[in-house]
Amino acid sequence: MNISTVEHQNDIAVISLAGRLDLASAAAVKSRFSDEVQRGRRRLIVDLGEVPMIDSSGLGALIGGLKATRLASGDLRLARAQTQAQTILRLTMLDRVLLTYDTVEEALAAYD
Amino acid sequence: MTEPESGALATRSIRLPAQPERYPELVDAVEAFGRASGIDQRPGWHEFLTAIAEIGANVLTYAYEGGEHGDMEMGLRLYPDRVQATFRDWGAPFVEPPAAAVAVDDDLFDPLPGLAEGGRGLAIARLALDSLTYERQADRTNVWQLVKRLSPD
Repeated sequence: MNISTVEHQNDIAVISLAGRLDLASAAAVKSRFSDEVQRGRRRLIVDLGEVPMIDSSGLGALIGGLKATRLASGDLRLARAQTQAQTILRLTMLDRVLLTYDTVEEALAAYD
Repeated sequence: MTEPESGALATRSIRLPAQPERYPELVDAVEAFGRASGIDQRPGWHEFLTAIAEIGANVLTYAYEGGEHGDMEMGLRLYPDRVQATFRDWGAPFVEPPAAAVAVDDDLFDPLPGLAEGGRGLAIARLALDSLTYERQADRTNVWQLVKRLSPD
């Protein structure tokens, strides 16, 4: 799993993931979310465009990030979710709390 | 890919030490099966992949605990109307004391846990599949059977 961050104005960071978000990578991703919130980036956008699969451990990381951002009065939102990611979000009904956008640009605009 | 068994269009099986570190290998094998058999874009495939990852992670993580070590097997079979997976391990039983196959339903696992960070793996698998059963066989083999119907392209 490759993780990269681009910082934007207004406490926003776009975190791009590449690889499976799963049992093997979830801890590192959750840790990155936590680090960003501690650095004041409380409004996160997670770019899932290069994530072919998410499992329940990966969902746990996203929920952990969502809780961390909301404790800091922010939010965690998703962009470019692929087919399997959309499937697991729908099955678990987490698509109701993890707002998902077709593009990173739309997710950025929604924070305005 | 191994030679298809009777009635199956394609089959694949792998045997691994049941260790969480082997999880990427397991998922790689499932994805390769989907690509090789040409079903990875068919409706239902992503649900199957999602379920298999959950059961696979469960077996790799929990089949052998307390210093015990052992293997697990995963078999995949594609039929014209469905795809099936079978997991076998020889560790501790998932539940006591089923002698025959039981459907994995609300009696065997917690429902979706709201915003908890864990504990939803089996619920996801059940929701994603048409059938999920667990059996503790007389020879102490744990058997998970997963079935997903595939819609036409």
